[in-house]
Amino acid sequence: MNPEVAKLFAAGLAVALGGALPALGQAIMVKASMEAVGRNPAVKDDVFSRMIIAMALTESIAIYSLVIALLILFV
Amino acid sequence: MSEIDHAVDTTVVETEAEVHATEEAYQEVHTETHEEESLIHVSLKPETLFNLGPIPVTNSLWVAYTISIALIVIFAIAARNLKAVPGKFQLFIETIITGLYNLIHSLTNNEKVTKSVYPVFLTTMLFLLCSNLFGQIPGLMALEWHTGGHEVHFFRPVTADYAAVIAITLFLFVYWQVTVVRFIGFKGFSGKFFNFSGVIPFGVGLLEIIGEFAKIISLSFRLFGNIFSEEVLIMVMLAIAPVLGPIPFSLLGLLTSVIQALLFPMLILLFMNMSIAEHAKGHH
Repeated sequence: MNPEVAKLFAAGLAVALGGALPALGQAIMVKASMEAVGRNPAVKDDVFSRMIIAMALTESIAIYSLVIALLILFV
Repeated sequence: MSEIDHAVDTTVVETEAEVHATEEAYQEVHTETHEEESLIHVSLKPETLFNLGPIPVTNSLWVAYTISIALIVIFAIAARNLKAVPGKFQLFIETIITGLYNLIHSLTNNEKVTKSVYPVFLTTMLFLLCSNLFGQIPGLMALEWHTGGHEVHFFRPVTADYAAVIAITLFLFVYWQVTVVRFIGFKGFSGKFFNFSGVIPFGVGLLEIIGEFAKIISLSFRLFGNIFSEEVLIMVMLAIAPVLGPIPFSLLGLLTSVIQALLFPMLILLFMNMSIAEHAKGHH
């Protein structure tokens, strides 16, 4: 395979796989926190800030794969 | 028929000649002229518009300074004529400030911490909000600047320039660590990273150090990646389906611009507050 073509494939795969799995994780997290708020609306603020932190930590995996894709494409 | 053919032929010849001429002219600057000619023009780095002495003025630099000066002037005017009964302009500014103050206070839940940190975070939020929303003005991306024989975008959102984002992140990172030290003391701060009570706590402390530096990368790339990829997405949509294609994506961009501008300082506040609250809990 031409190295240029391999680069494009690698960058696309990095974002596709690295974005899909954290998205699944975030979806599970939002589902769980929505259920918790639905059962007990009084804990809304507490659950919200914890959810944001956990989502940020999960999203950083997707961001690392974006960094790798950008490095492959541009550097 | 033959006339049209002839006309087409001459145009082709002319264009080829033009391309040839331009290629020769650009050869020193750019080797990949053909990619440069394509409709989608993506560059990870901001492009230089002109040189001001030894300083290259890039397309994101002038935007950053314009926004900073505009914010300073607007808020200086607002602060100069404060009245007990606010007019429309004062009410607008007051609404922004109290809204963001309440947002920051809802995250820290501590009057002392909020009072001490809100100026920095409020300024960051306003600057990021303005620079992200500035990029949403339609038509700005179409403006081009001719420099040294090739065309570059005249405008680039500040947050789509990684140098600006990493500068803001590093400043806030230092500010955040200093604030944590100020509130829990140096002993409490270093105790989180260097724990000599056992092998496992020591290893966890070392991992915390790495985690703290990984936050710089993940925070800055979250902001940069969202804004940059949104710009590229709208550009690609403009090339695939002009006029109507980018509209839904612009709406999505409006949403991400506001959310990312607020989320970036909010996350730093949450991380900072977590270290302060954790320490307070351990001492009760």
